[in-house]
Amino acid sequence: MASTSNSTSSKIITLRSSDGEVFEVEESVALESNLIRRMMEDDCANNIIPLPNVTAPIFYLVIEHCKKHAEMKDNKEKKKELRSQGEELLKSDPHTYSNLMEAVNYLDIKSLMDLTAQWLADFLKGKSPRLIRELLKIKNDFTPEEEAEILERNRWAFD
Amino acid sequence: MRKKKRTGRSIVQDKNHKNMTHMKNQDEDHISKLPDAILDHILSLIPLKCAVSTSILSKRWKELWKTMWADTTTLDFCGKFATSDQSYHDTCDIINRFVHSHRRSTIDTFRLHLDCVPDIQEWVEFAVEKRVKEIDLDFTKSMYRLRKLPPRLFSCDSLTILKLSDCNLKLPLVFRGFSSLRVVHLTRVEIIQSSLERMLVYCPMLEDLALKSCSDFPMSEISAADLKNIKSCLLIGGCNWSANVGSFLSKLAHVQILTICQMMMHGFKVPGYENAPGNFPITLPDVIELQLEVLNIHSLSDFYDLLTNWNFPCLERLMVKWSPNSCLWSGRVQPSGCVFHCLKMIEMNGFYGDDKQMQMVTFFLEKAVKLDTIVLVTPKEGTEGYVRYDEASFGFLHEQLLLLPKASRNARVVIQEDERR
Repeated sequence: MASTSNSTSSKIITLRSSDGEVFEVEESVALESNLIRRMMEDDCANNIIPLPNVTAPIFYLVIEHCKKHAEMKDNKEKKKELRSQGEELLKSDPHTYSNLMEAVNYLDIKSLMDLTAQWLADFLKGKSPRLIRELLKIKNDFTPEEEAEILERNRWAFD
Repeated sequence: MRKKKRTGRSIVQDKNHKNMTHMKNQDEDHISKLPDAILDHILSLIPLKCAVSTSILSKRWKELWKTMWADTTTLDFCGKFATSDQSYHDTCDIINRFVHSHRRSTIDTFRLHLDCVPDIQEWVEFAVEKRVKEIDLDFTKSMYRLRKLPPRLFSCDSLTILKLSDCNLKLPLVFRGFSSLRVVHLTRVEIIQSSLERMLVYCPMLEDLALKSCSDFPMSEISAADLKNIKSCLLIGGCNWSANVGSFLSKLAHVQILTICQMMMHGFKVPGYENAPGNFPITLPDVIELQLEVLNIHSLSDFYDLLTNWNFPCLERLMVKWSPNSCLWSGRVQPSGCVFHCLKMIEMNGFYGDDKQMQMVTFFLEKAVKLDTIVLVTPKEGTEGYVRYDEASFGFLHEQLLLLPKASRNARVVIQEDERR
């Protein structure tokens, strides 16, 4: 959870993003990240923990989703809602998605890794390659001959 | 370094900031720049066919699925994999190609849901050699049944889950059992009684048994000790069953989740027990969830018989699925002494406010002293049994439900439409 002025009794961890912003985060949330957990075990607990690979806006997103993920435990509706949010994000802002994915990977947060990976997996499912290319701005760099060859080799996958 | 402590509110501000800086990146392909490991992981989450189709996206994606495939632990040939216009030989070719290019030494799952019945011997041998944990073979969509399972299957030590649909199952003469098998789900499987009994006897770890519309049923040779680990049991449909189902169930001393259909309830009188009234009701002490399928109004009396002759002292959840077409009720008296001390949740699917259904709701509201919630699920529009309620009649139904006497003061009655397709 992002810190608030009337903070609760739980321990607060201080983190610094790559662009120099300082965050205060409750320990229980921070420990979702295996990277932070390992750093704390190496006795950085009393200092500010630097996160050189994560920018502040992305770190906000991570915290926000950690919070949502904690809330959705045993709540099927929330789970469904959270899972469906990926479609929108990938359509409107694939760059933020890829930054979030890399941050989650770097911070090593298992629950969010599963969620964000599922977002892209769901996104790819049931869409034609043409539509996927268009939405994700993937440039088709095959020659027509190369493309025909791939289509022929795995014809069954393309009906 | 800015030393600025933030609150949750400033997220909005930040989003704006982020959107501005990222505007110029909108036409770039960021997803393809993700590391191989991440994209591999993502491809492993989508069906094989869809993963293969990503090879056409760009050169970056061309070979990605192959890494994923060679290293996958789940070989899943089902769903859209087998399309109707794909010939029998195409299907075999494709599966052969994938089986041959798989590199990992072990696999978890081998799943085959086909609309044809090819020779599966080589594939099953492949799976057994890779120490497969779950085998799932389904030929429901095929015009033919699989007549004989490859013998190698029966020596698969690593197997923990076996699911078979629309095939014949005959154990070989020499069968040492599956020492780690925990789950057996058989649907429309032709299996003779003795095979089924040996299966139960020689799979000591079996926890979850589901027999759906199978040809036969385990009978006399099974002892309670053979079934002591079974925690979940589903018995639906099939012939030759109902006469023995009571005696079989009475041996499931530790079953926790029990699913049965209305046909089964006819057979709930246990031979031998009639002469010893002291043994009634038969107690299944660990059952916490009871699911009753395709119950129609006619079987309400069977249902009350079930509650008279059987005792589920720890029952917490009850799910009833009604069949849409109701028959005449034979007017059996409700069991009088019956009280549910632990029942917290009841779900009734196919609820349309019929008199007899209301009787059942009344019955449970009176008898379940700890009830939290009773959920009445009405059939979805366009499905059988759908009743259109205008606001007035819906309100009336709701009012009637609220007026019913409740043994548990806090019990909630919820009406909702079926969300499933």
